[in-house]
Amino acid sequence: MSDATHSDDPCLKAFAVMQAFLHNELDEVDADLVRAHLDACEACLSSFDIEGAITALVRRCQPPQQAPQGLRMQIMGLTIHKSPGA
Amino acid sequence: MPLPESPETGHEAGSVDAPASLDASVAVIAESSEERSARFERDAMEYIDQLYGAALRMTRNPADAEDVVQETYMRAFSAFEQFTPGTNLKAWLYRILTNTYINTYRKAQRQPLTSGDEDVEDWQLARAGNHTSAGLRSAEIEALDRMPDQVVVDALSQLSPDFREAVLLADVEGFSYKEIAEIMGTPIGTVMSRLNRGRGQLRNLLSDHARQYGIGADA
Repeated sequence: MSDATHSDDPCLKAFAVMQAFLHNELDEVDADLVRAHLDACEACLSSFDIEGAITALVRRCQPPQQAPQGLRMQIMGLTIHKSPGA
Repeated sequence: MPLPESPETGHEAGSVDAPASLDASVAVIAESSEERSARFERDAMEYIDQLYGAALRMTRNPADAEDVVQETYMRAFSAFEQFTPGTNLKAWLYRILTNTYINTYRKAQRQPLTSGDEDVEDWQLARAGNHTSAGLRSAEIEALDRMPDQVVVDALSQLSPDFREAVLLADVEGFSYKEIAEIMGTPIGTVMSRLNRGRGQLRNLLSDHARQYGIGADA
């Protein structure tokens, strides 16, 4: 598979690991390389900022939910009335 | 690639974190079924709200979400003996939830597991995405901030199912790539590819919307 991380284009290289960088999944050496590029490249910095804003949006529109009480009771009933292996 | 049934792989999915202490293992061997039921109730019920939220995002229907969560707990309860205490119970439950949803709902919907752009190389998507993003200005970040929730929800629902799942697990549930790999039953490389593609699709959909409705203009 072609791999942007092996590209000579520094912007393409940064872009290929952008998600991993934003999710704190890069090791420190690779993360420092990305930070150095972002210090030098306005376009990529803006690109990363936009991704950060999209992550915040995704979280905002998916608020925590509460399971209905009836569902909770049904599941509790499972463990009381049906022991595993019984 | 078909996913294995969760109960059989439960032990594996439970091994996300550090191994259980010897004391805990010995205690589990000695426990009665009543004690195991009590432990299940104490430990697994803690995640019911999060699992329900995830099921609601998958099914987009409260009745179906309840069915998926109930089935998940039934499967988890009957496989709980195989779960290693002290390992990642939350990821283990999410894996069962994901498999339950895929086996009962996605099959019925006859949706393709991945989008048709599987043959497009990641670097090509990266290039296209980079150009899109480079063209966006800081004013557009403000436009994103003011975007109605429903627009984002609709955009998420347009993503290919596997891509959407990866994005939600990473960005909403906050799982690590390793945990997502366990939950989705794929290598970490696949998780990264799904996230890159899913977020790329999402970015394009949101950018299109922002342009369509005018950047920086009030609604």
